[in-house]
Amino acid sequence: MINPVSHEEPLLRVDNLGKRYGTGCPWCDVDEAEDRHCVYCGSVWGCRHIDLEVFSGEILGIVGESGSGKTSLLRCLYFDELPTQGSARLYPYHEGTVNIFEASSQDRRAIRNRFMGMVYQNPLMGLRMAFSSSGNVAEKLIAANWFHVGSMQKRATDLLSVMEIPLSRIHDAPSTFSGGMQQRVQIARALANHPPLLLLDEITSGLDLSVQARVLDLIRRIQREWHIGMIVVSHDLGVIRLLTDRTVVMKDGKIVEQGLTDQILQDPQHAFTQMLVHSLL
Amino acid sequence: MKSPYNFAYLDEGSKKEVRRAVLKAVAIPGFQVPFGSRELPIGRGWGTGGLQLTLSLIGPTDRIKVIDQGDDDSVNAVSIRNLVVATAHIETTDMSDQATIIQSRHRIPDEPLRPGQILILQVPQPEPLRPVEPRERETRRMHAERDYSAVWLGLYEDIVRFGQITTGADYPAVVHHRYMIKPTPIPRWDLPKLHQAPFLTLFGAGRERKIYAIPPYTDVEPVAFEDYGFETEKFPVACGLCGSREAYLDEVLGAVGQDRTYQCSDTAYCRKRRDQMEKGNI
Amino acid sequence: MLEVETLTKTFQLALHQNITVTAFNNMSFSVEQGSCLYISGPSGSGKSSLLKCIYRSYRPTKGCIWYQSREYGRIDLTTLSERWIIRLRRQEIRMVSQFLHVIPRVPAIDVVAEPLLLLGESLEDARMRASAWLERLAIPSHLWDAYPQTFSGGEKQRINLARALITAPRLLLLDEPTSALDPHSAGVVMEILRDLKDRGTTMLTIFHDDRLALQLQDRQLNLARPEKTEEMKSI
Repeated sequence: MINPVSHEEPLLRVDNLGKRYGTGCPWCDVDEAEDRHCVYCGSVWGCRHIDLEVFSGEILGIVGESGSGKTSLLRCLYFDELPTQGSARLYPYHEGTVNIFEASSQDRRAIRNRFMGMVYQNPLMGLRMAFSSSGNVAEKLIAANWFHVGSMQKRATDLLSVMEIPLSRIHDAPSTFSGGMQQRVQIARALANHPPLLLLDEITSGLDLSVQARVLDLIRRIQREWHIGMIVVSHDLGVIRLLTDRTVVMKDGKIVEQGLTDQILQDPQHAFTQMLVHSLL
Repeated sequence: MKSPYNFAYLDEGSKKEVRRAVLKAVAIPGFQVPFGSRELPIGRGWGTGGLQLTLSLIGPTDRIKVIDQGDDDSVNAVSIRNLVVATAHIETTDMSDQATIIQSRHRIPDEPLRPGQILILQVPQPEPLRPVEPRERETRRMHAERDYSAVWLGLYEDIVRFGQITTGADYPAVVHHRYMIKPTPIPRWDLPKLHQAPFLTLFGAGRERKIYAIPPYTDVEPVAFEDYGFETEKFPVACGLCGSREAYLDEVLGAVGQDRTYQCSDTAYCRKRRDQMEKGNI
Repeated sequence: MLEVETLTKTFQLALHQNITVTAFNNMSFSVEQGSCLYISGPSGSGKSSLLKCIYRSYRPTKGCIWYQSREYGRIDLTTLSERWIIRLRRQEIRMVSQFLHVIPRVPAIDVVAEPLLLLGESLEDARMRASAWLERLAIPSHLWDAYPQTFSGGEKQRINLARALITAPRLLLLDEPTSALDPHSAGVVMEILRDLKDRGTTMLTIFHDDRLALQLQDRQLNLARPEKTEEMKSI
């Protein structure tokens, strides 16, 4: 693809990312081996040969069915797992010149706290259920070296009210909240340090439709007001259509198609994408 | 009569292991050094960690003091002291300034300790992150990465919910600006004594199998916020027995109908003051 | 302004034994700046597909689309990366499609204002200009804070039009912009379009009614006979 003028660096650039589960053997690494599953050693590639870019102010969608490797990809980006191969460069970290997977563990923790926010599908993974919602948001601030209770409380309250959590409930633990509310607390927590990149993993799966709608609308609003870069992973094409500008389609751990969201939905090129789009109810 | 036990009960190999752990702990202030905790005639959870430290460090010329919540005469203090005497035959004392090694449960003596003295504290739970993270592997990683935000979060929650930090004892502190420790359930009153102390403090957790240390003249900073600082306890009155306003006081409830009184937790300190008062020195 | 060279669009239907369906083949034509090209032809001749290829909702199979951009010079839309297409869509090229799809749960005024927000305008300014457009398109003010999903077809179409026109695009692609409108509203829209044309907006249009088309365009491209682009005289 030709760029007439390229003066803007991507916020996140991922090159040849791959995550293998299993011991690996010489046969796995042979690139022609298109199979996800190595018959010799039993290793499985969660995702492989992933190249993508995310720019500030845009929302990139990653769509695929379960087992397509999209969650694997996101977990690697957020350092919940270390990838087997490939690199990722984040512009705020050394201006994108250093592969974040080669950063020290202290640096990785700093990247997680300051440059990335992650919202998990299951709120249990992203929240401390025993602490209050305000505390959940404050924890991120503490990790970014805030030491003033008054300012942390104010910031937490502001973020939670943006997420439409009623003031009367910010001191309650998320374990007492409904699913949609828990997700909103998770989003507030992820946004606590105003990260330039937000990762959202199937955040509306399992929620009631009206609740889904509310969460998605909040995401849109944040996108408009904060101009951060986002990656939205979903199996739901409706979510992708509503939120994203560009989309990546994954199947069996690989990217089969990427392009403008409306083009993917109206003129899918790859057989799998066509099947996916035509499966819309 | 030849004692059936080795000097100070433990075999030399065990003592060597403990001493090695102590050296490493002193070299890395606040770092929890794992060690092979030995079986003792005292049950786990009753001071075996502190006791192993004491037994490994004493020599024939040492003089030990053993206290339990400031009291030399509690049952546990007496049992431990008896064990040491029976197997090592060394002198004991209840005067803080005359002991070379002081083993204590949950208190630091109010009488200031000198350089050259060793304070050994018994540790129930060495890991400040355990309340939020049950996995040892994770807590070790968190210490390595200085990931202590969960502890601060606990204090934040207290402040937001109750308007103040409610941790009374075992207040977390950061040693030498690096590792966070639990200083054992000593009251907040005692925590400032550890900061830049002229004496060595050793912490032994027998059940949890960890030894850590605060070398002399080391910074020990209680965890606190900019707008909510660390505060020690305040007592409304002086000690009812010796009149001291500089010691940590226990609240004693009298019989039904009687008022509560306050008296020094450190019984030796209190007795010393009373003796001096009788002699007219105060 | 726009030069289309040997543009072909085919669909490969993977789910139907991979048969190939051709939307149009080897189209070549050009559109001068400030002029309007009316694309006509029988149903199924590929009119919408052509517009969508230019807008990049469809991916062209072969050929080039040269566009004279104000910011970036002469560029080929078929080879541009997605980032740049998004940028062009925000700044210069807008499309009004046939389908009355609206973003759910956003008030009408914000639906119309959003493209300005994406260009960096303040919320107040954007809303002000949005309300001006809504008024011009005769959407009653009590509906401005309502969700367009509940509107009639005609109202939805006018919302979509306002959303496309609010950024003053240089190139406007219109696919049946008045199909859901009554004659009066259609008249209002045609007037707006004429006004835009007078101000120099380049347009490609598809109309279901020849007479409406005649009010605007300078030339006609009949997909049934694409080799000839004919001049159309207004009646």
